[in-house]
Amino acid sequence: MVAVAWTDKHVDVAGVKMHLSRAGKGAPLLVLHHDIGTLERLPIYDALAQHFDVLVPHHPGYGKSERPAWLRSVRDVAVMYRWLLADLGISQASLIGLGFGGWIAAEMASMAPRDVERLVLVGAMGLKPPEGDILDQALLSYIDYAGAGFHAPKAFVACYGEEPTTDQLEQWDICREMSFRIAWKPYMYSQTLPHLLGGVRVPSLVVWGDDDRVVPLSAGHLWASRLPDARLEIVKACGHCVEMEKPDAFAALVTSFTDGR
Amino acid sequence: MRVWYFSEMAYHPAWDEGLSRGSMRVVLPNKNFDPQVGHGLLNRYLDEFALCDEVGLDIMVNKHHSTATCLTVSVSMALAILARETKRARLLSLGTPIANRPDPVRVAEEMAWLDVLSGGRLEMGLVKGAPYEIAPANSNPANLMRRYWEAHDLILKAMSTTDGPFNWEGEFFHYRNVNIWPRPLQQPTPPVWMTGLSADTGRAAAERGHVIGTLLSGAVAKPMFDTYRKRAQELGWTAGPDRFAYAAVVGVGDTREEGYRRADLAAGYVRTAPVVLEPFTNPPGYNSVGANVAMLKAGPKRGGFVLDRDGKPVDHRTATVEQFMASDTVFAGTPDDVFNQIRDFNDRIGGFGHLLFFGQGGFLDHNDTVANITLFAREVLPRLRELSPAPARTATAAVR
Repeated sequence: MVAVAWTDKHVDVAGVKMHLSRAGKGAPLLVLHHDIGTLERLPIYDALAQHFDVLVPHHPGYGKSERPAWLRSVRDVAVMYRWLLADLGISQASLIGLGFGGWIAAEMASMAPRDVERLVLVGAMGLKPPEGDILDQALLSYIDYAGAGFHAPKAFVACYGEEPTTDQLEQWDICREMSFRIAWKPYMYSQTLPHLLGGVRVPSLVVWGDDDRVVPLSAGHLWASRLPDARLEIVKACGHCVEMEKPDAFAALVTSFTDGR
Repeated sequence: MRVWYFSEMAYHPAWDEGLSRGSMRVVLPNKNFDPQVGHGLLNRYLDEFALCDEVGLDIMVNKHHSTATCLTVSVSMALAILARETKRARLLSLGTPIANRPDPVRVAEEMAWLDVLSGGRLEMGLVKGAPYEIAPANSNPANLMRRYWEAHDLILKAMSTTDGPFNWEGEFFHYRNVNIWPRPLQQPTPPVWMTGLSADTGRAAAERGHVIGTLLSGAVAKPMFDTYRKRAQELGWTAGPDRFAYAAVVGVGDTREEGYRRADLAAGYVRTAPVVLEPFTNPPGYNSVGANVAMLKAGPKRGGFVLDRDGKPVDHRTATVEQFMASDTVFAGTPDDVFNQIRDFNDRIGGFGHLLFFGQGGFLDHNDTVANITLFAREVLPRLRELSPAPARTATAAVR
C-alpha cells in the first residue's frame, strides 16, 4: 500500500468550524463517522485513499468540530454536509455512512438524488428496525457502548487500547451528548425517511456485521428493500463497526461496488 | 421556623426485591406492586398527611416515577385531595420537575387551580428533578437546564399575567393565546421554591428571591446557603432564614430509644432511595464532561448520596442512626434531644426557616407514624417556632 499523506484543516459551514481530514486521489468519497466519533486515522481510511479522494469530516458537535447549540436534527447535519461539498467544489461524491453516519448519508441521498455517485451504508441507524431496537446508549457506560460495536473484544482493543485514554473518554461523552441533542426521541431513527428513500437514484450497498448488537440486522433488510437499487452484504464474525473490525473485507466490498461489480 | 411534614408514600413491600436487583427504580417490574396493598397504603399515607393539619404542621408533597420508593406520581393529585382534607396547613409542592413535563402551561393551570381551591395555601416548587427521572419521562437530558429555565419563566408569566392572552415562542416551548383560568389567589404567584445540591443552584435561586431547599447533608446545605446569602447581599438585600429549607429524617419518642427506633425505621428512605442502576444516575448532559470522566475513571459510584460534616461520603445503605445523626441526615431521640439537634444544626448552617420533616419512611407503621407526628407537633414544634419566628408570609413573590 502506498503511504498516505493526510491533511487536516478547518472549514466553516453554517457558522460552525468543522474539522476535515482529506487524502488520496480519485473520485471524491465522503466518509461519515459513527455516533461514537472517529479515531483520527484508521487503516480503512488509508485503504480507501488508495482509490479515492477521501474526505473524513467530524460531524458538527463531535470530535474536533464545534458544537452548534442550535442544531436540532440529523437532517440539519445532512444539509451542512451538502453545504460543505458545495464549498469544496464537489458536485458529485460517493458517500459511506457508518452507523449513525449512515443515517446522515441516507438523508443526503434522499434530498438531492442526483448529487450522489454511490451510497454505502454500514449498520445504518435512521430507520426503525422491524425487529428489535437500536441499542440505547443511555443504558450503558460509554466504554461499554463503544465495545458493543465489536464482535471480538480484541478488535475493540486493537482500535482503542486496553484502557481508553482520558481524551477518548471525554470525546465519547461529548459525542453522546450531541447524539442526544439531535436524535433523542424517537431514538436514533426518522419517521419520515423511509417514505423518502424511494427518490434515491443511485445504486446502494448496504453492509451489516452478522453480530451487530447496536442496530439489528432487520434494519439492514429494510434499507435494502426501501432503497430502489440496493444490495445487502453481511460480513461474518463481525459487529456493528465493520470498517474497524474487518477493514480489508470492507475495503474490498467498497471498491468492487464502486467499480460496478 | 416552619415545619413541613412529608412522606414519599413508599411501597416498602417491594424493597427487598429492589435491593436484590440493585435498583428500586425504572427497571423494577411493577408486578412487585400489589394494587390491593397499595390501596391500603395510599389511603393510610393521606390520612397521616391530613393529621398534620390538626396538630399544626404544614404539609409537603413530592413525586417520583417508576419506583418502589415513592408512590406519589403527581403532586397536583395529592395536593388536590389534601387541599380539601385540610383547613390551615400550607401546602408545599416540592415539586414539579418542570424540565421533564412537556406542557408548562398545564403546570401553571394546575398550580393556580390548587391555589384557588386551597384558599391561597399553596407553595410552589419548580424543581430540576433527579437524574433517574429522565428515563421514565423520556425527556432529553442534553438541554435540561435551558429547558428548566424556559419552563420556569413561562409558568411564572402564565400565572402572573392578567391582561392576556400572550404568545410564547421560545426555544423549547411554543404557545399561542396563553391565558390561564383560574389564575392564582396569591398574587402575582404563590411563593416559589427550588431544590438543589450545589452552590450554583443557591446563586440562581438568590437571583430570583426563591426559597431554596436541600436534603440530608449539612455539608451540602452549608455552601449552598452561604452562596445564596452572599449573592443576595451583592444584589442589595438580606436573605433571612425563611429563604432556606432543609429536609431531614426525624424520629421522636417518649424515650431516646423509642425516638431512635422510629428514626431508624424512617431512615429506610435514605437506605433505598439512591439504589438505582448506574446508567440512570448519570444521563448525558446532566453533569459536566469533566465530572463524567472523573466518575468513569473512579468506577461505580460509592455512597455520594449522604456526606458527613467533613464532606466525606457516608454509606447510606448501611449507616446506623448514630452515623446519620453525625451527617445531619437524621434528628432523633426525645423531644429535648431533637430540639437540641435542630437548634445546633440551625446554628452551624447560619439559620434556616423551613424544616422538611421526613416523618415516615417505609417500614415505620401507622401507629408509630401518628405518634411521631403528634409528639413532634406537641413537644418540638412550639420550641422551633420560637427558635426562629415564622414570618407572616413564608415567601415573597418571585423577583422578575
